[in-house]
Amino acid sequence: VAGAVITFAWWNTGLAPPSLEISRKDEHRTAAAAVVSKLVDAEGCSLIALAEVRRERVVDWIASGHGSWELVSDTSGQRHDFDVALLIDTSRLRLEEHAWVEGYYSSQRVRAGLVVRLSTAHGPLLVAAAHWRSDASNAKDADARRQTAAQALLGEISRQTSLLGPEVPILLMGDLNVEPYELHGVASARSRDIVRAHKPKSATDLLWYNASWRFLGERTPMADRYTATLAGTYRGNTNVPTAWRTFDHVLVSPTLLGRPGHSGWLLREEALGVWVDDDVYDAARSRPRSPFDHLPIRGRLEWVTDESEASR
Amino acid sequence: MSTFADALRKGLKADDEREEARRQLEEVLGKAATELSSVLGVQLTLTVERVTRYTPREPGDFAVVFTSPRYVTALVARGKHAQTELADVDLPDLVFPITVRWDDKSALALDVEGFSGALMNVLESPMTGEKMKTLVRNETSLAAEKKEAAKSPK
Repeated sequence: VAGAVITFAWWNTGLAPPSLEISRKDEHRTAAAAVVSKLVDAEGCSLIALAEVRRERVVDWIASGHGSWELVSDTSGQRHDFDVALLIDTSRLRLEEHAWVEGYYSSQRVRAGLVVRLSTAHGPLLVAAAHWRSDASNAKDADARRQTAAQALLGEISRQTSLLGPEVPILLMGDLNVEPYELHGVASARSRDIVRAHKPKSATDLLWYNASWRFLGERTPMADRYTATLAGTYRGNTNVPTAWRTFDHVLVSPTLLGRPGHSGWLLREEALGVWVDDDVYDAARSRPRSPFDHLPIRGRLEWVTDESEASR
Repeated sequence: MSTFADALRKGLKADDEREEARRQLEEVLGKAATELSSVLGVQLTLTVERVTRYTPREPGDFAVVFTSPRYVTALVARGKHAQTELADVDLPDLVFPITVRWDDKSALALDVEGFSGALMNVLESPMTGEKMKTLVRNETSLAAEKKEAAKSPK
């Protein structure tokens, strides 16, 4: 494995709903494949986490000649199998271990997500990808399910950190189906300083930095008339300026914020953002381009050795 | 203001709850074992117990042929003569939440209903199917060997 930069992306493709007609699904798949290819070709992504890609061979979406890729997806064939998947560029990252994590809310199975341990040129990296239940059908039940999912996912992450040490960098990406200010069950903050200053009281006491707060921002005054707007990562069918939601999150462990005097992987926050490429975002209509309803998030981790860089 | 008596009452109640959780867990395991025995035609028990694992030392270690023991809690299916480990289990002192890990899966169960669901999922795994077939084969052949040994003159 080689490289001092890991460009990553998270995206809910919207491809999975079983209600989608076959012909529309083919069209949707072709469009989604073009977006993923572009994330590889134009953005140089070496780690791509996707949601709503149940039973899709997403590794085939990347044109041959664009590196060697490994796909982690749920191949169990269970009725309620996981719809998240992870694409890994094996020239930069090596997959060491993965776990599909679930929780049980009463007797209901809740899909919490995928946790993988990767080897980079500079040691291990934990990556989690999650797609949690939306409020669409039963908001109260959905919140309980999301909290169960959070508990299960953090449990697996904590097991990994107990093996690898508390300093192991962790990147959590997901469509958590809540805004950053509604996120329950995952202790997180929007302040880098608070996250850095947090002193863990136990192995499970992890305070995450949630970079997604920044995606909430709306700069255009909202009114009942049509307004050009981009204030989130998801926009459904309602045609009002307040339709945007920030359901897609990127959370990182404190280590990824850098530590003075230490070398390590660092989240390059200036390179993290909602990816508004023409293929996926319709700027004229201020919404994800049909058939999509989510926009990808693209970001970068960089290996830093310089003390001043590490303390940024 | 809380008294020492109040604190003790809490401790007694917590222990009662723990005992009840253990009883519920054993009930589920007992019910599952009865059903499994009936499917496999071999008498089995299912237990959550501490087992010893032998892990190879680091590659390149001079003593690579030796292994260092470590202790883990596991879900064990046991016949009269043979046994197999179906999953690793994180069993806290208060019993729940319990985490079950098998193949490439990890399940957190907050209560006994959740544990039943997780156990169902373990049993549905093809790896578990394979382990159970091996267990039945070993159980049958070991039973036959024992029978033969009992017949042969001392």
